[in-house]
Amino acid sequence: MAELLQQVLNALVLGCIYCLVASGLTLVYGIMHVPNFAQGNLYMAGAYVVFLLESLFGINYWFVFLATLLIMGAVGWAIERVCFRPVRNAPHVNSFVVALGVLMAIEGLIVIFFGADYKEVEAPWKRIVDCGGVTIGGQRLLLILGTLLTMAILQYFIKRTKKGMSLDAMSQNRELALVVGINVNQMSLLAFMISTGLAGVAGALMAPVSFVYPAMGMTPLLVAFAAVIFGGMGNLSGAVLGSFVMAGAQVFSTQYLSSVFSDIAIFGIMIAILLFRPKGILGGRG
Amino acid sequence: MTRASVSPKFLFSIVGMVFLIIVPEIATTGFFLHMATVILLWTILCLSLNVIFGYGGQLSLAHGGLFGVGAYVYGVLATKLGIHFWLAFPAAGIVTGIVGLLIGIPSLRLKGPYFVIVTLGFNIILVAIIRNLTSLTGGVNGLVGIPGPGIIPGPFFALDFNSKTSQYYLILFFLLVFWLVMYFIRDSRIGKCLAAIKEDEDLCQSVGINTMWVKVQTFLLSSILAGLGGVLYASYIGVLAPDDASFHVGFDALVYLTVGGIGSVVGTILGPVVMILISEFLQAFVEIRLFINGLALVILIIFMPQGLRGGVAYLWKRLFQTRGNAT
Repeated sequence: MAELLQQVLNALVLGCIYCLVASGLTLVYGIMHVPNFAQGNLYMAGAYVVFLLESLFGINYWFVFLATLLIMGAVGWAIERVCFRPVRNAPHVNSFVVALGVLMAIEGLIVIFFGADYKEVEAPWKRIVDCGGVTIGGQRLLLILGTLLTMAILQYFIKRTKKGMSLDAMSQNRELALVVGINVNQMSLLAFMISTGLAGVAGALMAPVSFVYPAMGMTPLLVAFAAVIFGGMGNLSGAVLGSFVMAGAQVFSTQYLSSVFSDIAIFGIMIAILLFRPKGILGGRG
Repeated sequence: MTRASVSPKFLFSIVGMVFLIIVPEIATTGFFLHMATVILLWTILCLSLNVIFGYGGQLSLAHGGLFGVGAYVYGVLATKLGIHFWLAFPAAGIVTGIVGLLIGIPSLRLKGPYFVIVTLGFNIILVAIIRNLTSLTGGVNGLVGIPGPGIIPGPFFALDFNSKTSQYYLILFFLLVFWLVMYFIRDSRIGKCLAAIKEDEDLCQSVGINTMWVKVQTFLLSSILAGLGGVLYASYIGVLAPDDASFHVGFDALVYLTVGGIGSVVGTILGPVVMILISEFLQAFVEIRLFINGLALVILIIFMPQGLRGGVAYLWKRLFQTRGNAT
């Protein structure tokens, strides 16, 4: 029983990371209709920003955390303006290729500056919490709480503020949003900055738990895609649901079958969803 | 427009072809010949991607995996069963074609980003399979000692493919055949349907074209070409690792194709030539390669979506067309 609970907890931690990455992915897709292949590497870049800031200024995790959020937001601003805006009116497939180019460029840049080896980031809170046979590291607890807080803020922003509601409106019905005078450029920029910010938060929360290395973004990217497709592209609550389902599928298939099956399970679910319910489990918008 | 002049395109093709044929003669070092062979192998992968992406507009990210499947099928047949190259070559093509159908039939039902993501997913699955069929593929340790094409015994004469030069010519021969296939596809009925699907798939369906069937046929052909490219790669390089089937291989092919010119025949070799030479010049900084590739992809798509092929055609027009009109 304790073992099962421990697995559930592991899935929860993984799910949180996927959830942050996938939310950004689905937000950008909803507004710009671009599957942002670079999202996983933006998460990786966030982890490296944490590593850099910590090695420069020592560990003050809160400062580092906020600085990462701001830096990644700025990175998102730059990428949207420089890479994605010029292809907005080009054939649709061009923006996919640009996203792949950004993916490669970010990874290349990180390898040039930091090398390909594994880095370690010190955790701010090293205590291990024990609640009835199930143990959880302090940082993992922080990760879950941090994700909850971030998602709550995001939800508040989208449902309660004017900018956020415009964003939501645009992803629900682009033409009508244009008719009522919502600015496409502004919304794309906003969506992209939020999305890279979320990736940065995910990287910052994960960096002390796992190692930091250039290829760390690929699995979260692919799982996040699977999650987003599971919930329906552009659907935020669907992405959150999908992330935890995929994390569960990954953890339990690794535990009870073998690690070979975790990739196959995740993409198997994804492909099955696409074939039989292409709009996702929640269908359309939730 | 001058009358009866030789078209520059034709002239370029002849010059290029002659150059490709004399490469082993002018190659002063073995390394130069090796580079030329590697470029030809990449060209084959680029042209296979070009068939489905350039002509059909379907961006497949599974081509690294299909290339790897071809390579591994040959590797396994040749090392474990000792099957001769000339039997294993078509066998690997058939197997890759079947894998291509298994991937293509579900994926091609999807459009736009979904197709791209699902093909990427299939590539991950292929690598996972290759990594874990340890008894056949050697798992993460890879396959070593894959034999080359060897000697074709003939009644009157035997063709010997043991030297590097002869392997270069063998690969060049297949490249030329594949190019012809590509030309044939482009001008066939399927090619015209593909061009129409690229423009507007719904419209094609409404005028009664079975777009799914056209796309499946094209994907099948494209996978076979990628797989045969993989066989040639495996027989030339002699060792395989699961990374040879990674989606990064497909990404690189996409970069080269974009640099050369998506949808153009000459672009499939122009891209590999330019990008591989650039990365050779930058050999001191191996890490830079990924960055340069990514940057090239973004810059070209934004500023020169037709690639170098489009750029050269544009310059040619600007330089010579005005003079032609004046006379």
